[in-house]
Formats: sequence, structure tokens, C-alpha cells
Amino acid sequence: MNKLVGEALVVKDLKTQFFIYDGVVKALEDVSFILKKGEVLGIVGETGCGKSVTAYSIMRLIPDPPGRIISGQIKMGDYDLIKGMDQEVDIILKKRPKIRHHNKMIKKNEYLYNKIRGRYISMIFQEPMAALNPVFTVEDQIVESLYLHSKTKILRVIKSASEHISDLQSFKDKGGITSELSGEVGVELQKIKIQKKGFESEGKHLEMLIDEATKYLAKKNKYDEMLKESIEVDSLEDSLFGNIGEEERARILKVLSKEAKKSHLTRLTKRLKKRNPDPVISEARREAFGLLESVNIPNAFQILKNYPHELSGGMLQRVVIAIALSNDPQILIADEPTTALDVTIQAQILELLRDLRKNRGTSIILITHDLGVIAEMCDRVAVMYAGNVVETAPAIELFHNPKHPYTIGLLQSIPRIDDPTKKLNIIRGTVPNLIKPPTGCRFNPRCQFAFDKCTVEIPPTIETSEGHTVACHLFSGKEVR
Amino acid sequence: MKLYVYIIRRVLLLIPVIIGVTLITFYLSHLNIGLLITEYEGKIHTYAQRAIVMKELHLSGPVWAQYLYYLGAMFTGKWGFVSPGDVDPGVPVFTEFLKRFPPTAELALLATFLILVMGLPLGVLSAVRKDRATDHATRLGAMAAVSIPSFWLGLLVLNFMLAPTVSFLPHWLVLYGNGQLNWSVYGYWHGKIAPFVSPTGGLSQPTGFLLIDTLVYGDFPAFFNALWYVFWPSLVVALTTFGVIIRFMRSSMLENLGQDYVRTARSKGVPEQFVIKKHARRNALGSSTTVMGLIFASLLSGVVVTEIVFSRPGMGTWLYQAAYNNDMVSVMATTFVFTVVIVAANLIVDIMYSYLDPRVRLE
Ligand SMILES: Nc1ncnc2c1ncn2[C@@H]1O[C@H](COP(=O)(O)OP(=O)(O)OP(=O)(O)O)[C@@H](O)[C@H]1O
Ligand code: SF4
Ligand SMILES: [Mg+2]
Repeated sequence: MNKLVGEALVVKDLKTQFFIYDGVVKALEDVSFILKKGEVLGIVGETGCGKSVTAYSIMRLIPDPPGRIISGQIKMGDYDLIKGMDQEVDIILKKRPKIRHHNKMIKKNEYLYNKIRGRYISMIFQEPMAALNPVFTVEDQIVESLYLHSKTKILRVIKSASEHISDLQSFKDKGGITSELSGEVGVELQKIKIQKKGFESEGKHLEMLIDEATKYLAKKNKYDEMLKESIEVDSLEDSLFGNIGEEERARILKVLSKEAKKSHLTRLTKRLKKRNPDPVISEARREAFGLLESVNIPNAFQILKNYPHELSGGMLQRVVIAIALSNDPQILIADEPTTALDVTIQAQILELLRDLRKNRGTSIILITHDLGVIAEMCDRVAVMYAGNVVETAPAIELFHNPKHPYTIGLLQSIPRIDDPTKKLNIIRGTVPNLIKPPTGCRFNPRCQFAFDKCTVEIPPTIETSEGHTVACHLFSGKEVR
Repeated sequence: MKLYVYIIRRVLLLIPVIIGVTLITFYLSHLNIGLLITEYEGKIHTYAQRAIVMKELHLSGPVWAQYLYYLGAMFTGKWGFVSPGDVDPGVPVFTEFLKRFPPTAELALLATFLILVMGLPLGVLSAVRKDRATDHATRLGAMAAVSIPSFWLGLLVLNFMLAPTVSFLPHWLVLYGNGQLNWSVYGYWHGKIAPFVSPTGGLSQPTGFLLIDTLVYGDFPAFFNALWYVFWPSLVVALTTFGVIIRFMRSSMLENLGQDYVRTARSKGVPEQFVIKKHARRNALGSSTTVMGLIFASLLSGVVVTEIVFSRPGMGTWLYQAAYNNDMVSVMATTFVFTVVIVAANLIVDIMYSYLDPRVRLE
């Protein structure tokens, strides 16, 4: 369990604003929270309180214009995604990359961020119906994701398969996987076995692997060369996120940008169309097949060939999850993954996320406004209100001992089936206009405990007990920030 | 539905359209029966001759019977005769059609091609650089090009590029004339195959398409020459039509770039270049093709005007001359052909659309 100690992501004082015609929407104001390794962190709050903007800020998906991350830190390990990037831009542009150069900055940052997105941090969205490109098949869209980030792994599996080709053949002849294999291909077969989809699927996987291995052997030198290159690029990329000097980082970026120019993505599109694809593509396809099976899609082999409009919402959300998982990310951000689905499907999707955390140790940020989902899924919860994190606590603690008036209101507004006579205690009013937010505590116009200090002073975040922080003037204690 | 079933259905649907169009043109041209008779004016000297013409056109019967006779003749390939000139009884319309169709087809196809290769990328560019200098320049340029009347732009191109009064091109690129292009007086025609010479002189043209025929004979100078002469008029047609496509592609791109699936693509780590080129553009292309079907009609009217300006001996010039000479038979025939072409173009567009967008079913 040592792997699960420490923080996967630290968000500190994140400030994101939208510059629109009416003024500046101060969507996030000093948002801070920590995501621990292997945990599920829930983010709750009313609509419009900035949950999605938080997620998009982490993913750098804030549309610009009008949005912009103004300041803050998003730390993945030692690497500060925001600051680190701006420094790189400094080096690359050799200019002051302030707001004026923002567009160029994004461009230059893109390379790095495209490595982080999908590979280290993945995201799934609220509307599965709209989340997939309607003109490409499910397969194409998963393969694209794999091809972008997992080329090394793919090549390794094929290479390993080619080393064990005779074993694979005998497995297939004997019917299914009977014993263990060593190397990457063994790991893959193990995975297939865990998925328990029966012999037919196993046979298909074996068939594909054998086919790839044969093709690999036919052009061994070429693919070995490819693998070597791919490993080099990977190690360079990994070193970018380590603790290296700025000059060095600039140098590596230069090398990588050159590499990216010979990008294989254009060729990928063409290759996908070919009937007889090279082993890299067909291994990516096999992997896509496995991924769909791992998110419990029945009949995965057929589904691969379907277009998004041919699938149901629940099925699509599984596909989206499969895409998000394709490169085994460390962090998964799920932005209301079940809101658009009906209840039974909801439960299945949540089950899937739970398995995911258990099997892969992925840290999950689960955004929702459904407290039931929070209770069921989360280890810790961050409550957001109008662009602030007002309270964070372990889930059980939050439900039994809520501190912040907003949290209390939120919990009381859940209808109780065991006590239907109890009147719902609804928080009056709505989330304030974020262009001109209330001064002091942003909750003060709606807070029944508000007193004079609340309208003038922004409440500090206070740690009331271990792991339980609250931003409210009613409490005193150790200030966390 | 199978593709061929779909095509057959659509072709069958063509029938009411054609009946409608012929009905209108027939009715309009027979509004003044005198006009029809005038065509034959030079020939009618005696009552006997008049009787023959009356019988030929079934003028003594009721109008609906005349129309049915006309329709029947149309479908059996008897399209009548071009208004008689020196030749008696005139050139068969169908023969004339075979001669006139290729130049127009070359012009229209090249113009379509130019519209697509200029319009679509400019639309994408305009969308990606929204509200920046490139965007403004593109939109302004497109707007200007669309606002310029094609005959005026045609005259400019004619004067500067093909028959220059101010020459800034090497002499072999241009045609010297008196400002008026005339296919029979091509001064600087290169190669063995002269365009549109009478069948007795020069080589025979196997297809009638100059661009193809020159290649059939392997006569490359003539080929490039032919290309040169078709390029400029088609550029005029393209420029005066492609604004719609630019605007449509721009708004379609903008719409698609705001879609959720683009966000998903970005969240996968797809480089922005591919987000635009692969994901968004592919979607925008689908809906833009449908517009192509719609603007094809305006493209053809541009073709007519441009042909007249450039004196290209195509369908447009023919239609123009026929209308000028009260040659109603030719007017009806050309209208008929244009109708069929427009409907066919829309059919092709629909089929293409279903290929580009898997959500669209052919029904
Ligand atoms: N593109 C944008 N332009 C202007 N303002 C925006 C934009 N996107 C978000 N905002 C603002 O940011 C604030 C937070 O929005 P956000 O989408 O994060 O809310 P949310 O908590 O995810 O709500 P929901 O539960 O409805 O998803 C809102 O006040 C919204 O008006
Ligand atoms: S700071 Fe004041 S207004 Fe804000 S929640 Fe606490 S008591 Fe209410
Ligand atoms: Mg949201």
C-alpha cells in the first residue's frame, strides 16, 4: 500500500476568471484542495458554484477566450503544472509571456499539456451522448487515445508476444488460457483472464496477438527501431516532469517538439482505414477491445465498429470511461458522470468507478451535486460554494458533523425517506452573480448565522480537526491558509 | 437501404420535377404562339408551308396535347431543331447539345473544384482565427468577391489575363484579340488540336471535352492552353459564388469547435492541430456539402453569364442566343438540361453527405 501514500494532486489558490462582455466572472477564487493517492474525492455544490470550472482548470480546458487561469498552483508530484509551464514559455519565447502573449503561451504549452491530458490525468463528462465524435467509430476513438500515449506499451506487448508466439499458438489450440506466461504478453493475458469473458473472447485476443506477432517478426528491425525511439521519447517526456534545470527542460522540449513534427497521428488516420493494418494499430485495436470488456460492455467486438449514435447513454458513458482509462492515468476526473443516466445505469457506472479505484489504484475526483453519490463513493469531500471551497472533510465526518452553514443547509435539503413529515430545510436564494460577488464571505446574503464581520472580511480556512477544514468566521482554530 | 435502391428512387423522383419544369417552360414559350411561328418566319411563304409547321408542332390541337407531344418527343430523344439559319431545317438540338455540353461541364466542374479548394480551407482558417485579422480579411474578401457582379469580374479577368489591353504577362500566356474573345480566332493556340473547329478541319474530338481530347492525342501544349482558357472563367465563377461556402464552413466549424466531443478530444491529449483538422473539420464538412447542393444552381447561373462574357461556346451562350432569337425549342432544351444537372448534383451531394456523416441515413 506504500504506493498509495502521498498526494496525487495538490490544487492551491486556484483563481480562474471569465472575461465576458458584462464584466469579469470570478468563477474560482482561491480554490485549494488535495487529492490523495488512490482516494475518491467528492466535490459537491449547487449548480454554478464552479465545480466544472475547477475540473477544466486542472485539465486546461478552459475556453480562452473568454476564460483564463489567473494564478494558483496545480501540483502533480513535484511538478507545478501552471508555474512550470509558464517558466518554459519564458525560456521559449524569451519574452515576458504575460497576458498579452497568452495565445502563444497556450500553443507552446500545448505539447506538454497534451502529454499530461489523457496520460496522467483523464476526464469523463456529464453528457455521454455528446462526448464522442459522431463521425468516428468507437474503435477509432479509443485507438486514437492509445496511439497518442501508449505506443511504447503497445510495441512492448507485440514484441513480447512475438517471443512467446509458440506458447500463444498452443494456448489457442488447447482452447483458452491455461497457464501463466511471462513478460508483457503474460500481463495482458492475465488481464483478459480477470475479465472472465469466457473462451470466445480469449480466443479472439489470442488470435489477434498471434497475428500481430507474425507481422512483427516479418519486419522485426523496423519495429524494434520504432520501439527504441518510442522508449527514448517516453523517458524524455517523463524527465520533463521531474526536478531538472530550466535550461535542460527547454532543450528537451526542443527535441520533443521536433519529434512531434513527425507526428504519427496523420498517418494513424490513414492506417486505420486500411484493411490490413500494421501490428501497432491492430494491437491498439485489441487493447481497445479489452478496454471495452473491462468496462463490462457485452459484445465488445461488435460495439467497436459502432458509431456513437448507435449506442445508448449508459453504453456511451462506458466507452468514454474506457477512453479515459486507456492509458492508465493516475488521476481521473469525473464531472457528474451519472447525471444524464437513469438510476440503474447510474449504479452500474458508479460500481465501475469503484472497481477502477480498487483494481488500478486510480485517484478519482468525483464531481456531483448528488449527496447520495458522495455518501456511497467518496473517501473525502470538498464542498464548494460560489467559487470557494468552504469545507473539506472525510465523507463520514462531513455527514455526521457538518460545520459550515452552507454544508448544513445542503445536508438538510435532502429529502428523508424515513421521516417524510420533516419539512425540507431549503437554503433560500440562489448562487450569487459571480461578476459582483458579495464582499467578505460569499455566502453571507443567504447565511442565517451571518454577522457583521461576514460582509467585510473573507473568512480564513480553519482546521477544526484532523483533515476537516472549514472557511467560516464562526470557527476558530489553526488557520491552514 | 442499399445505395443503388436509393439512387433509383431518387431518379424516379426526378420525373415529377422534370414534368414541372418542362410544363412551365412549355407554357411560357407557348404563351405567345406568334413567337414560335416567327422562328419559322423566314421559311413560311405559303399556306402549305404554314400548314406543315402547324402540323409539325401540333399547333392545331389543344395546348395540353401539344405539351404531351412535346414531352413524348423529349423522352424519345427528338428534341427538335435549333432555330433554322442557313441550314435547313436547322441543326438537331441534340447534336447541338452534345457539342455545347462539354465546355460548360468543364467550366462548371472546375469552378466547383475551385470553390471547394478555396472555400473550405478559408472557412476553417476564418473559424480558427475567429475575430483576428485573418478572419476579418477572409470575410471581407469573400464578401467583396460575392458582391462583384460576375460579368464585371469576367470582363476584368478577360482584359487583364486573357486578352489584355494592358499586358503584364509573357506573350505566350495571353491571347491577343480585339478585347472580345472569340473561339474561332484564337491567335496563340498552341498544339495541333484547335478548339471547336468544324468537324471537317482539324482532328476529330472523341469526347468533346477539350481537356480530355488534348490528352487523348497527347498534345500537352494544347492541353495546358485549354486549361488556361477554362481556368480563368471558372475562377470568375468560383469567386463570385464561394462566399457562401466560406461563411457556412466558418460557422459550422465554430459550432463544432464548441461541441463536447472536441472537449473530449482535447482531454485525450489530441494536439490542437488534429482537434481542428481531424475532429472538427470532418464534422463541419458534412453539413457544408449540403450547402454545395444549394449553391450549385447559382453556380450554373454564374456559368451562363461567364460563358457569354468569355464567348465560350457552351450551354450558357446557347441559351442566351436562343432566348435572343426566340428560339424556344433550344430554350426549352437547355432549361431541361440545367434542371437535370441541378437535380443530379443534389443527388450526389446527398450521397456524399451520408458518407461523411454516419448519422445520416439515405431514405
Ligand atoms: N464559458 C464561460 N463564460 C462565462 N462564464 C462561465 C463560462 N463557463 C463557466 N462560467 C461561469 O463559471 C461559474 C461556474 O460554472 P460551472 O460550470 O463550473 O458550475 P458547476 O458547478 O459545474 O455547475 P453545474 O452543477 O451546473 O455543472 C458559473 O457562474 C458560470 O457562469
Ligand atoms: S462566514 Fe459568516 S456568512 Fe459565511 S458562512 Fe460563516 S457565518 Fe455564514
Ligand atoms: Mg458542471
